[in-house]
Amino acid sequence: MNWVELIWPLVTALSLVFGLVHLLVWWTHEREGAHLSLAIAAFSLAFLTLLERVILFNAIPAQIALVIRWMHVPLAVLVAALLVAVHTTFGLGATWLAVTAMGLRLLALLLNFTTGVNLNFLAIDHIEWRTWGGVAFAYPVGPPNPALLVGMLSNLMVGLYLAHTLLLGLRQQPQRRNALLLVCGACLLLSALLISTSLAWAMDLPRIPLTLPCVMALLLAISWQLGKDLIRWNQLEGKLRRSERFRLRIETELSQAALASGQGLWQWDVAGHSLIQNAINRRLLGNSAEASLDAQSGARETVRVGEDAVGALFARVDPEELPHVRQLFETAIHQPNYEIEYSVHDTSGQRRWICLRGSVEHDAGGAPLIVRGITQDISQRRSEQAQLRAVLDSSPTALLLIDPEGEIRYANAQATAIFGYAEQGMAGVQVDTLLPASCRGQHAHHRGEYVQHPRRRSMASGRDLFAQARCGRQFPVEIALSPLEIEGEVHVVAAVEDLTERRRTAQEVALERESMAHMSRVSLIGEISGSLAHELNQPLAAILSNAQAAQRMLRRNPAEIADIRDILDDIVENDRRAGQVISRLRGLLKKEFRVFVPLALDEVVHDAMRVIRNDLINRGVEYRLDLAANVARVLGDPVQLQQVLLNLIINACDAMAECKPRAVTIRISPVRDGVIQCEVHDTGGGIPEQMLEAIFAAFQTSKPNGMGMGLSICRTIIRAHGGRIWATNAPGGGACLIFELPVME
Amino acid sequence: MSAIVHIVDDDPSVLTALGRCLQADGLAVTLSQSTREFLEHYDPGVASCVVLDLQMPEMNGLQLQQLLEQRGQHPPLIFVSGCADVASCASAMRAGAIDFLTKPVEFEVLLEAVLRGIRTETEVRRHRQKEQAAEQCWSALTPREKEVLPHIVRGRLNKQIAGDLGVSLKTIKVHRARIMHKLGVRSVADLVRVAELAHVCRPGEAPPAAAA
Repeated sequence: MNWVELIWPLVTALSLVFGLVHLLVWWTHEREGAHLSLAIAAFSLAFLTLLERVILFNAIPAQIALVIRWMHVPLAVLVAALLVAVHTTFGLGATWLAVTAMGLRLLALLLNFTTGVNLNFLAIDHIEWRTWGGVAFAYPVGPPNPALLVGMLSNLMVGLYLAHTLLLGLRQQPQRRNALLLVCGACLLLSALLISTSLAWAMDLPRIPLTLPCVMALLLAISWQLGKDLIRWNQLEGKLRRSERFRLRIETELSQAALASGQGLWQWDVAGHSLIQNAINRRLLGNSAEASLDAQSGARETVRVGEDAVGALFARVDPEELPHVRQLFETAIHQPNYEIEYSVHDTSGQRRWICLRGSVEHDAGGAPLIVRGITQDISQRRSEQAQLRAVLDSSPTALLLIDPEGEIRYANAQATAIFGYAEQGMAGVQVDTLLPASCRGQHAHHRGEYVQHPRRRSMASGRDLFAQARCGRQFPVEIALSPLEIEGEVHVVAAVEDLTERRRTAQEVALERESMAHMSRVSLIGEISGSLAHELNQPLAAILSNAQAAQRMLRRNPAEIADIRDILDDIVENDRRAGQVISRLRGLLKKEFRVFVPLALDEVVHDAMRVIRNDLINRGVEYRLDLAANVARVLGDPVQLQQVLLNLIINACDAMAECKPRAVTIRISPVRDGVIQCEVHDTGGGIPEQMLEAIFAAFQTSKPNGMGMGLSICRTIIRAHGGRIWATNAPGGGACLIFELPVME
Repeated sequence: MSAIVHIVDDDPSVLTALGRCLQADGLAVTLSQSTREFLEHYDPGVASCVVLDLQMPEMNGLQLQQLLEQRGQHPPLIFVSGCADVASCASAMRAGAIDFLTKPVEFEVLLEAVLRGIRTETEVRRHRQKEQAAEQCWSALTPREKEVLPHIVRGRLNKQIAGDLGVSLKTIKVHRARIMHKLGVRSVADLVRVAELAHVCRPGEAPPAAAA
């Protein structure tokens, strides 16, 4: 028993086991081609070792020639199997190389059976015994068959193919470097071995009889690599199965969650024309697909919907609206994410609002492949929105929601009304277009600033703001801004108040107040008309008398020119005086809006005294003026302030009608704390303590024919001048009415 | 006619103008800007006429009128007022004002009133002189003569008077002669007039003592 007796059967057996293993693997693992090829290669090798074992110690040349001829069959199969294995595993090398190699091999096989004794020899002349490793082997000697070249060429092509695979593989798939090096390297080695064997035989070179065990080793190496892939594949499969289980669990939980929240889930496989949906989805969308699974379990049901998957989604949409909704949907699903809302009629005929949203997978051309979606009944949200919208629309304030780009996102009914967008709506309108052209440029800047420092505030406080309606009409507005963060961006809510009406009302009120003051002034003049008439009469009387005196003088003695000149001077003087009285009177009677001018309060006092002096004389009232020197100037309307003084003086006189002595003091105190004070003090009975404030109320009077507006109007006037007026009782008796005004800086 | 015209008005321009007017007509004029000033200027012994403004501070025209009345001085008063109301006008006239004029005053009207005032004043003064003379004469009579005089004035005969008084006819004759002499009259008619001036009695009026 030599080592050959041990090795060769061992290799045969190993090859058979190896082949069986790969056959089994191939059978159990989805018929993987590489394993079948390896199995075939292993079986061929087993056959090959058997045949070689036969000729190793055979001394009959004819038998050796025959065996060698038949050895080429398993050899061809082995080469083919290896090529297929490499090609199915990597598939990188040029196919034509493999095909050519196989073609040449087949040709060689044909030549093997048709020329010489076999492919290697034309004839085997004799057998030589050569010893290797202590064992003598039979070694055929004879003229080599030239057809062997074809076999060589085939092997060369195989080598080229493998080299090509190796080259491409190393360049393109560096992650499979080891596998490539091992498999292709082994095969290359194998083909080199085969070539060298054939060559050795042909050229009668010394040959090591270990070709086939080497082939076995190489085959094992290839198998090892593929087996490693298999193991990894098995590991991956286990992992996949686990993750699949996990996915299913998650999916079930998600479905349950979707069920609990009343959301429909669905997936539309566009190419497969199938719609997978949960029970909620079917209920919400009301498509006619039969429920195949228990709805409560939340499991999915697959519905074959034929060509019209979209139809299943919109089964309950009004036929009239359907084309519009479908178009909306088909446009929407060209985006990676979509959201559409539409209304359906549920089984009881009630209108429900549905929101579909989800994601879409597209193919390379951008056509949707798989559309996934969530279906939600948003009727309640819609109705809440409608309610909110109704509430917002009923607001008398115009409300605008403006996004960071200055585009209007929402406008309530009042806003569209005042800006004149009632027909086309304001969504998408640039907010700058609502401003007069002159402030648009600045506004964009202000808007940017506001987004930087968002806070609730009124816009441009202290300045008159104007807005512009669509028709170009500009109107005064008041705007309050408050920031609102939506999706991480600062939006602005602007509450716009149209001030046109308010301004007009304010103007009317002011006018009314002025008219009131004027009316009161006129009635005041009525009260002191006697005094005024006297004031006017005096200069007129003087003029008449002077003129007549002059006439007389001239008639008597025309030479007394000096006297005449004096008289004329007096006439002029008196005429001027009469004119002043009239202009004062006209000033009081004039009905015009208050005009604020800088004036000295003592001048006002003197003017008032000129008007009322005679009235005081008539009423037997003495008056005293106590005016501080260097009276500061105030900003005011001289006529209205005079009116206040006259009112206070007349009131004082009325209060003293029944008592003696009758005196009124008008005092202007020096400026203190930026205000100047003027008081009118009488010697009457004073004002009851509880009436000190009430006397300033309208229609409050103690006079039989008074209107009760005098002091009320005085207060209005003084307040309009930024001052205040009040009444006290002087310590020494009598009432004291005091008003103070801010002095000019 | 030498009477002084007092003009009282608180308004200096009116005061001068009025003064000029009256001066131009040759009247003697005194100007006062207030009642107090007037009272300083005023001499009751001199014939005066007062042109008075109704409205003046401190004391107005009507008050001045009252004051003069109280003092027993009765210069003729002509009120001039810018805004005369009926009440004050009536009150002034009742108290004996000559006239009540409204400003502006027509010179002729004022002059006429002033002249009327002066005339009245002159007459009043003349009358008062006679009365004073008569009263002086009256005070020169003895009590008995004062007792007899009313009887004579009433036109009773000496005999009747003697009977009434219980004295002799002769005594009455002496008294009558003395009375006539003392009063400087010649006839009973003159005597009656003087007696009237002296406010002894009115014609046709019974002497108080002889009522029975």
